[in-house]
Amino acid sequence: MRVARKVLLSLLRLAGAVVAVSFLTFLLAHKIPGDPTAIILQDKVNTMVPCGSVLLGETVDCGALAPKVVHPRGTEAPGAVTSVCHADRCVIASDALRHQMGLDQPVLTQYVHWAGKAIHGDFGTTYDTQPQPVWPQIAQALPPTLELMIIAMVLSLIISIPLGIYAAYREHRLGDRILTTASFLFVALPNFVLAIFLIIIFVTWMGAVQSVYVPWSNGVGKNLSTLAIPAVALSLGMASVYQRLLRTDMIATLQEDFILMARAKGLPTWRILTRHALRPSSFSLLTVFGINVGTLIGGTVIMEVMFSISGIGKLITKSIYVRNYPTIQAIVVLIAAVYVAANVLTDIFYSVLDPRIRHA
Amino acid sequence: MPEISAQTEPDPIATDSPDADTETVAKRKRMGVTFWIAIGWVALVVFGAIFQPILPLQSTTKPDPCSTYAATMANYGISGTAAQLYNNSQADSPRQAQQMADAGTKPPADSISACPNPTLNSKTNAFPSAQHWLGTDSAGRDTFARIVAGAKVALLVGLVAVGVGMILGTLIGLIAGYFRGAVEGIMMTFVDVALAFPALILAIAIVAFRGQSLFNVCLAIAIVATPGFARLSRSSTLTFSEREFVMAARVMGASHRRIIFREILPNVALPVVAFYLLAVAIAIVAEGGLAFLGLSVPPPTPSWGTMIQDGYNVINDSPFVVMVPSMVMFVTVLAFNYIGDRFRERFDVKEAAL
Amino acid sequence: MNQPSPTLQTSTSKTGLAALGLQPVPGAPLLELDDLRTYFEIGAGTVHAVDGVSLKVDRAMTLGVVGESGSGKTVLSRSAMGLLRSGNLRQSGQVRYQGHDLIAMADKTRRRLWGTEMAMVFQDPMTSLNPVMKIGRQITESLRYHLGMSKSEAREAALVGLKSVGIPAPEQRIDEYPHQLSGGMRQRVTIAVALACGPKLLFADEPTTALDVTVQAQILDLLDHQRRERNMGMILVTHDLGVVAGRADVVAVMYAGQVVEIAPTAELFGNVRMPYTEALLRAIPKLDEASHTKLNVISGRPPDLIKPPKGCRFAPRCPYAQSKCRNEPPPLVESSTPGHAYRCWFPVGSDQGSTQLPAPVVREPAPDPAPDGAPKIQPTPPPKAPERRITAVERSENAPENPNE
Ligand SMILES: Nc1ncnc2c1ncn2[C@@H]1O[C@H](COP(=O)(O)OP(=O)(O)O)[C@@H](O)[C@H]1O
Ligand code: SF4
Ligand SMILES: [Mg+2]
Repeated sequence: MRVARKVLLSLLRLAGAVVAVSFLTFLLAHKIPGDPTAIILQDKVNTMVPCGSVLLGETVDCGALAPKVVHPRGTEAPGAVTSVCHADRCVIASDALRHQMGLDQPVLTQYVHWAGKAIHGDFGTTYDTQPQPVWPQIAQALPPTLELMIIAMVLSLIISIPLGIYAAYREHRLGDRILTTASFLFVALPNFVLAIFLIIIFVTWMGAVQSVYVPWSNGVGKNLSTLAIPAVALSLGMASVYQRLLRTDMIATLQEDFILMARAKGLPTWRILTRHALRPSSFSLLTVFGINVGTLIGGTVIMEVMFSISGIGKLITKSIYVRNYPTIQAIVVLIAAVYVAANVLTDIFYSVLDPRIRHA
Repeated sequence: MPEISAQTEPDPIATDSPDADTETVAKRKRMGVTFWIAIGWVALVVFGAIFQPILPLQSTTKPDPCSTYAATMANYGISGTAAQLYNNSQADSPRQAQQMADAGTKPPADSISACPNPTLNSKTNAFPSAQHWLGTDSAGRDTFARIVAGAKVALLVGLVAVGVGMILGTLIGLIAGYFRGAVEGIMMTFVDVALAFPALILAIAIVAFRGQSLFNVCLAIAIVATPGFARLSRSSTLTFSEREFVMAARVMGASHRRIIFREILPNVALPVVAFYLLAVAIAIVAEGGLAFLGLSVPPPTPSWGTMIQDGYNVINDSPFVVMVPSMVMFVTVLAFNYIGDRFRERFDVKEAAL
Repeated sequence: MNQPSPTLQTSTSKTGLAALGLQPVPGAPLLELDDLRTYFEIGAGTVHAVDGVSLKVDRAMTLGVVGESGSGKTVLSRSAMGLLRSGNLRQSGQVRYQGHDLIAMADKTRRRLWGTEMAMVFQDPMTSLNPVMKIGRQITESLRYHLGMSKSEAREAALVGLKSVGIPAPEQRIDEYPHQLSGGMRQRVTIAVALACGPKLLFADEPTTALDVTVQAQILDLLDHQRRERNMGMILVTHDLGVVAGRADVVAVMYAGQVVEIAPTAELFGNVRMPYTEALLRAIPKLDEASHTKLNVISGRPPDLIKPPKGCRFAPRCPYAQSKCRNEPPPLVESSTPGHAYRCWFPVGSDQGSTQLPAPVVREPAPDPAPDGAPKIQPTPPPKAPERRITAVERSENAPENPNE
C-alpha cells in the first residue's frame, strides 16, 4: 500500500535524523572543554585525599587512598593511577581512567561503540563517583514526564477543539471575538509566567496545596492534583494556537458546498459541525500538533524544575551540569525518537483523516 | 453542543457576516490604537535598554544594606548590630559578632548611617512606593531599575541574537533554495536535524557546556533561531526562483549574487521579517526558560528571566515580586506578537508559511 | 434503474410535514412563491438579489428557471428552500410549501422538511460531496437521522438508491470516497443523496454546468426520470435555455432578480415576448461547441443589483430600449396566451416595438438560433425567425468561462 511505503520512507528519513542528532550531541559533548574523568575522580578525591604535606603540583602516588575506578560498564578496574596535588587537594591523573573508559579513542569509534550498544538498549553507565547504569535512571524519570506531556496534549485538544468549532460557527460575533482576544493573550503568555499566575491565584490566594509530584501508585487523585497547574500552564498556550488554527480552517470549510449540501439534507447544526466540518478542517491543527511535541518537551523541562518533578527534563539538565555524557546521550536519543514517532504518527493520521492522501 | 440556531439568529454557515464592511472599518480604527500602544511599549523598552546606563536609576546589583543585615539576622539569629558588625567584617563569626554587640561595640559609622535599624529599614520584597516605583526584590534592590536593566538583556537576546540567526538562516535558505542540488541536500539535512531537536534543550546544552554568560545565552538563541529562518527562506526562495522576473534576470545574464540579493531577497524578506517579529518574542521567553534552569546571565546582572526566577522563590510570601517581571515579559511578548500579527496582515503573509 | 427508492415504503416514523404535525393544505400547490424578496445588506448598500418573484410548482412538474449568471437564480432557489441564513439577509414575501409558509417557520422546524420534503442538487459535484466521507455514509446519514433506520437498513437503502441513479457496482462504490469517482458519477451520487429520503420537491441548481458535455444529457435524463418515477416537483435552474427546452413544463426567465418572462415551454419558445428571452434563445449553444459556452455572450453586463436601473432593468442592454423603458419599470403582464406573462413595454413581435424603432442596425447576421443536430435540446417547436435582428447579441465561439459559475 502507498501509505505503508510513505510511512516507511518517513520513518527512514527520521531514523536518519535520530542518528544525526545523536552523533552531533556526541560530538558536541566531546569537543567541549571539561573532562568527565575529572568529575568522576575529583569529587571522590576532594572528599578522600587531602594533600597534606605534599607540595602543590607535585606528582605523588595516592597509593592506598586512590579510589577504585569503576569502568562505565561496571567492571572494576585497578586503581593504578597517579595523582597530582592541585589547590590543596590530591587530584588523580585521569589519563589511565580515560583510557579505560575508551575516551582516548577517536570520536567516531566511540560513537559506533556507543551506538552499537544503544541499539540493544544498553546506554552504559553514568560518569559519576558512584556510576550507575543509565537506563534505569531514565526509566524512572520517564513516567512523570510522559504523564505531564500527555495530559497537557490531551487537555489542549479538549480545550481547543470545541472552542475552535464554536468560534468558527459564531464568526465575528461576541463569543468569537472574546475567544480570539483570549487566545491571542494566551499565545503570548509564556508557560512559566502562566504557571506563576496560577500559583498566585490558586495557591497563594486561594490556599490550595501544591504538593510535590507523587506517582499514580499513591492515588490517582493525588497524582493528578500535583500535575494540575503545570499541565494547565503547558496546555493553554498550545490550546490557543490550535483553537486559532481550527477556527480559521473551519471558517473556510463552512463556506464549502458540501456543508450547504449537508444542511440541505436537514441535519442538525451540531452534527454538521462535528461530522462534516471538523475533519476536513483539522489538517493545520494536526501539523502543528506534531511539530509542537518538540516545544512541549522544552516546556516540560521548565515545569519539572518549577514544580520539582523528577522527570526527564530535570534529569537532562542535571546531567548537562555534571557533564554526564551517557545520560545526556541517552535522553537526546530518546527525545529524538519521540519526535520521530510524533512525526510518523502525524503522517499516518493525515491519511486517516484525508482519504485523498491515502489514494493519491 | 446545543442547537445554537434559532430563527432570529444569523447563521455563519450561510454566508457573510452582518455589516461586514462597517465592522472591519471600525475594527481597523480600534486595532490602530492597540498597534501604536504595542509600538510605544517596544519603543519604551528599547529606550530603557539603550539609555539605562545614563538614566538616574538606583543600583541594580548592590543589595540594600538593611536587607543584607536583615537576612544575616534571620540566618544566624543575631541582633541587628551584630549583623552589621559581621557583614562589615568586624567579626569573624556571627557568634563573635553577637558577643561584640553585647559588649557594646558599634558598627562603622557609615554602616549605621546607611541603615540605622535593619529591622525597621529593611526593604526586602517591598511593595511599590515613591522611592521604589515597582517595589524591591528579595535583596532589597529596586525592581524598577532592574527591569530597565533587564530590558537590555531582553533586547540583546531578542532583537540582536535572533537578528544574527535571521541573517544566517536566511542566507542558508537563499543559497539552498537557489542552487538546489547537493548544496541544498546537505544544508537542509543539517537544518532538519536542528529542527528535529527541541530548541530549549539545545539552548540548555550550549549554555551549560560553554558556561553561563550573556554572550553564550545570545549565542545559544542565535544558533537555535537559525534553522527556522533557513527553512522559511528556502521555501520562499523556491517559489520565487521559478518566477518570471527571476527567469528574466537569468536570461539577461545577471550573476547569481545579483539574482539572489536583488531579485529574490526582497521578496523573501517579507515572510522572514514576519517570522523575525515572532521569533523575538519566542527568544525573550526562552531567556526566561533558561533562567529557570539557572542558565541565563549570571547574577547579579539583572534579566527579566532571572528576576522571575528569583521572585518565584518567594512567591508564597511576596507574590508581587514575581508578578512585576512576569507582567513585563508578558506585555513585551504580547507587543511583539501583536506587531508581528499586524505586519502579517498588512503584507498578507500567510500564517501557514511560518 | 427502474426501481424506485424503497425509502418511501420503509419509513415507519413520521417525517417531513407529518413530523411537524402539519397536513398539506388541500388545493395548495406543492410550492408557491409569493412576491419573494431576498436582499443582502452589504457595506455598499442593499443587494436586490431576488426582487419580487412569484412562482408556482406542482407535483410531477418541472419549472425551468433560466437566466444569466448573477441574475439571482441560486439565491432564488436557496431562499425558496430557506437555506440562506446569513446575518445580512433581508427577506420578505412568502414561500408556501403545501400551503405552509416556510419563511415564517423557525429554522429548526424548517430543517425537518429538508431532505424529507424538499432537497437540492448543487452545481458542482466536485465540491458538493464531503471529500473525507465515504459516499455511502453521505447517503445513509440522512436516512438514519430522518427515518431512524438501522445501520444495515440504511446501507441497503443506499445501495438501492445508488443503483437507481445508475451507479454501476454500487456494492463497491458505496465504500469509496468522492474523489474516486468521475464528475458524472459524483453528480449521480449527489442526486442519490438528495433523493434518499424521498422528497416531493427537488431543486436542481445548474446540475450539469460543471459537467462534461457528454454526460450533461445523461444527468438531465436521470433527473427527469426520477421526477416522473417519484411524482416529484422539480425546479431546474440553468443558464442555458437549451437545457430546459425539452424538459421543463414551464420556464421562468430571470433577469436582475426578477422574473421577466414566464410561460409554458412551448409557448415561450414559440412566442417570445421579452427581448431578453429572445437574446437568450440566440445564445443556446450548439452541441459541437465548447462545452461551457455561456450566456454572457449578450453584450454588456447585468445591472448592479445594489442600484438597479430605475426603469426596465434590461434597458441598458436592450436594443429596443426607449425613453419610457429607462424611466418606468414595466410590470409583469399577462399575454393573450394563458400562463404567459412578461415584463416589457415594447414586447417582441408587437407593433409598438417595431414602429417606434429606428431601422435596426445589423452587425452580423444572427445565426440560426435552433441548435442543429441536437434533438434532445431542440426547442419544441423551433422558435420562429425573429422579425428584427438583435444587434447587441453576439455569439462568441470561445466565450470565457464565467468565474462566478
Ligand atoms: N450572501 C450574499 N451577500 C451579498 N450578495 C450576494 C450573496 N449571495 C448572492 N449575492 C448576490 O446576488 C446576486 C445573485 O447571485 P446568484 O443567485 O448566485 O446568481 P446566479 O445563480 O443566477 O448566477 C449576485 O449579484 C450575487 O453577488
Ligand atoms: S421594456 Fe424596453 S428596455 Fe425593457 S426589455 Fe422591453 S423594450 Fe427592452
Ligand atoms: Mg448560480
